[in-house]
Amino acid sequence: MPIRCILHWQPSQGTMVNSQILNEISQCVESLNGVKEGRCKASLTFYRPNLRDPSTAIDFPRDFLGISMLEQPNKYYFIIRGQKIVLEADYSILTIMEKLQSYKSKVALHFEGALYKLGDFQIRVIKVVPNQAESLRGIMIEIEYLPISSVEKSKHIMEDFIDLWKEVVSKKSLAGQFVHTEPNYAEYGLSDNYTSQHTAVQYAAALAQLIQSSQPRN
Amino acid sequence: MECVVQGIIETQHVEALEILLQGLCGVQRERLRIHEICLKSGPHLAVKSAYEMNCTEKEEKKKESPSEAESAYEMNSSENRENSISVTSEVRLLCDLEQAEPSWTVRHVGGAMRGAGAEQISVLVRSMVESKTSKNVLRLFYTLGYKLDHELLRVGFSFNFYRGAQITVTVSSINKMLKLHATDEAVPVTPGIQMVEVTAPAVAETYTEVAAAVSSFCEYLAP
Repeated sequence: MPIRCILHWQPSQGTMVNSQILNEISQCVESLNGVKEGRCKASLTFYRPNLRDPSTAIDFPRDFLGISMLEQPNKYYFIIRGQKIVLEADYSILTIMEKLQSYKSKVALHFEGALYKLGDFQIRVIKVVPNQAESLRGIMIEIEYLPISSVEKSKHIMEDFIDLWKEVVSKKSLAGQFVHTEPNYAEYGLSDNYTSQHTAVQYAAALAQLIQSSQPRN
Repeated sequence: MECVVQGIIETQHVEALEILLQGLCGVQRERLRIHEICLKSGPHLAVKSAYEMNCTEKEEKKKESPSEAESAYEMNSSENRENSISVTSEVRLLCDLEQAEPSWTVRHVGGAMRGAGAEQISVLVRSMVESKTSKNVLRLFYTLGYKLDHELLRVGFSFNFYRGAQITVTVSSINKMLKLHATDEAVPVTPGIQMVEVTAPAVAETYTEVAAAVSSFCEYLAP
């Protein structure tokens, strides 16, 4: 599948994300002649172990995430970032997890957004919202380059596009900036050929960044 | 959910059984070589308490009124869960070694249906959920706190066909590994004896029809 890069919005010190910034970012895409073509959605769920003795929690992963994506309705993804594990499974794995009862799902966050088409590129403007709530927790954009599926071969063109994108956004003088941190896919055992597992790894990394950047304010 | 009938056969008669199955099923056999890894949750991972479990099930039953089959199954699974409070949860990872690139499946097998409904049918009806996964599923479950309980290698053949239900007949020898994951050095658990299994996927609404189809096919295999 085509290569994708995910950038997350890092608000300036002392500021928070808000829907005004989201609107401005959408306008940036439209100013590049982006045509709205549809919607996108992914849900991220944290899993916590059901422990007999809470003092043993240290022996279990603290960052066990489950991800479902609207574009892959029959699949489910598990990620443990600490151990660099990503797993793709049929959606029925959720029934198995329920039957095992060894882990319970806790908080769910949704990545919801609009998909824009710009020639060979597709951009998803994504808002991060908690379960059953409207409050905005973060903003991301996902840049997809349709002709190439090799992470390595697309590096140059992606970097160029990200520079262009940052320049367009900087003209708006918003309180913050987009940050791109590409995960080391090889650490997860993933090849150069881009797949939905790569997207899952990027979602987990972006979420970790969003949590980290929101912590000083809490 | 699945309907199952299991039996055994002496290895010397397997060839004759294969010819019989070939005639009965009308399809080509598929070779079978599956590495099965049984994992159990470690000592610190818990299942819900009996009290919590009962409350949840009562709430679930309030939400939807399940069919008779589901009720029978739920009653039984509730009983199993209560018994399993001090017991660990169990999951099986199956690695299909017949494929050019080995493929992995996670399988959870639940308790068998019992009660009045189950007594009237001659096949085993049990909950069974499978999910195909990418290759690092064993590492994931180890990281989640699951431990290796035992592993085995099933070698044989299967026939997959439709006769009132999607039926799979599997004839295989069960082998154990003398060294961890050493599937090339596996030895039979019961030399001279192989396992015959007839299975068909089912759902609560149709399990009686599927059970009847399996039962009817099994009559051809009776000694």
